[in-house]
Amino acid sequence: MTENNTSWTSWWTLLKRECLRFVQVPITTVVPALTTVLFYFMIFGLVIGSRIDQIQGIEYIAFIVPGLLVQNVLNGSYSNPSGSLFMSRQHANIEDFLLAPINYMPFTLAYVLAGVFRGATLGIGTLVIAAFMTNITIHSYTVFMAFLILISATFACFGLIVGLWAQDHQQLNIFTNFLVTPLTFLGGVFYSLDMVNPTLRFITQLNPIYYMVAGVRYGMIGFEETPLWIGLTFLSVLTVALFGLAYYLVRIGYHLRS
Amino acid sequence: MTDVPALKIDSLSKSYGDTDALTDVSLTVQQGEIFGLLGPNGSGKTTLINCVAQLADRDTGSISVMGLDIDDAYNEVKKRIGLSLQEPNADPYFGIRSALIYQAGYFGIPRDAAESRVDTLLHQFNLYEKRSDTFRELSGGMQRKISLIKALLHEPDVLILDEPTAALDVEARVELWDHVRSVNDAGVTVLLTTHYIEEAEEMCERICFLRDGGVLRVSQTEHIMDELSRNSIRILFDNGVPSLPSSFPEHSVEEDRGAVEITVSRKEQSQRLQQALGVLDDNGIAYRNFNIEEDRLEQIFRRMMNDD
Repeated sequence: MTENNTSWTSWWTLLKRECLRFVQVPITTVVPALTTVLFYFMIFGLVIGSRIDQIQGIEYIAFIVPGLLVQNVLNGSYSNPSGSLFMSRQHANIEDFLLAPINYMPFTLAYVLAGVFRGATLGIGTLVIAAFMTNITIHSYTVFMAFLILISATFACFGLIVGLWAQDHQQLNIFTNFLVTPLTFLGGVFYSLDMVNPTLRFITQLNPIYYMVAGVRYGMIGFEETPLWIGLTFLSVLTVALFGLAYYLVRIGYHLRS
Repeated sequence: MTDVPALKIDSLSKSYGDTDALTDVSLTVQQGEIFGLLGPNGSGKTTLINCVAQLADRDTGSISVMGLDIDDAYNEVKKRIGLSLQEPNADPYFGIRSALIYQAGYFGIPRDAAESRVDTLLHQFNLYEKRSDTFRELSGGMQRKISLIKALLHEPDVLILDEPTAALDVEARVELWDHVRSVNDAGVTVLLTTHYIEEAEEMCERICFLRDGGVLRVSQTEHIMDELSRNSIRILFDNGVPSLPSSFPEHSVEEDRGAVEITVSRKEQSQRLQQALGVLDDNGIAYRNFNIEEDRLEQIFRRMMNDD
């Protein structure tokens, strides 16, 4: 067996394990997120949305689809590496990977790609549910895919870092509860800038998630409220920086080796 | 088999904050031997193993496995080592067969070969019927066996066992040691730690005593027994202990038992016994009988750990 074959098999096995791990337990990894988004569509889209005027000619339910898609993609991408690494450290089966001849870069890449895969799975699930509620359109495949890939990669890297850093469940959930969820709600998922007062508009414009939602919204329905380059540049820089940090932490064995 | 040591550790030191876990540890394990690491809790056994397996970063010193430096041949060394951890575990998300196939995959074994290897080992360890169970559904003894299978999957040259029989009943311990012996017979070097000193006495060709992160002694188990044992030769008399000539070996008197006790190492035992009986015969002193109480490694271990 050559060195290259060994490395490839090791990496592929780890990636497959990380992807199949969440598929094994859909009740905790997939179903809750899709159920929640179903309720969002029903309550905000159908019940409340029917009383809201169209936004620049777009039905409210179609307007919120991109935001809810981003919400599920980023949550799925974040949760996979953070939860998996944290649980592996808790169960001490992290040694399975540490004892094996897997280099740091493939190790990092496997966790990030598995996060992207879970984000994509939830994204597709969200679109399928949305298709029952409204017409799904893609205005620009390039913009749509570019934003979704960068969003999922960014949050997968972030999840990997938190999975290494967290020492208990409280720390694991702290970013979801106090950062990601509030930023998502204040990121224009349910509103456009001209629907809110100047203060909330200002806060929204400071929120990085707003630019992610805006990018995907443009990609889907052609609604352009803010220049796309801001979101693309920000996400690209963030992805590279977070991947670099995640790789560095894995390399120094942060909370992995004693 | 070559002269290259299976494991060579030079001046290894490791600390956790202000606590020195290992201080200037050097030892060599030869290929094909069963080598025991003994020491009380906190003596540095697990830290040493973790440094070798690259689960812990050392502060200073060098380690080579089968002649390969663990820094220069980082991944190659990992392929040469199989480690069964003190706390056995396996991937909790999958049945044990799947978890083991994944484990083999992490070591670069392709899927088909991994399935075949896993099935062979599950049969060998009488666990094939349990292949769909998760790790938590297995008994403690079975979990230990899985831990051993995991360590053996990639056919390592050096098998490291950290307290492999902890919390196992006698039957399970005997079965596990039989497996370890057959692995060793196939040429695999075994490095083990155990709390059961009698196991080390029986299994290990050489033993390293660790205390407070340092090496107290490394020696052949037989040599340790020969040199450090304190066997008791007890000679019993019918009518109390008579007056003994000065040529009689150094002894203590047990008046209530009507006996004298001579403490000797195993190495000196025959010579000293012959000397004592010879003195008694030469002086016409009758004795009823004699017995020998042999020291065990357990007692030697305790004395070494308690000596300053």
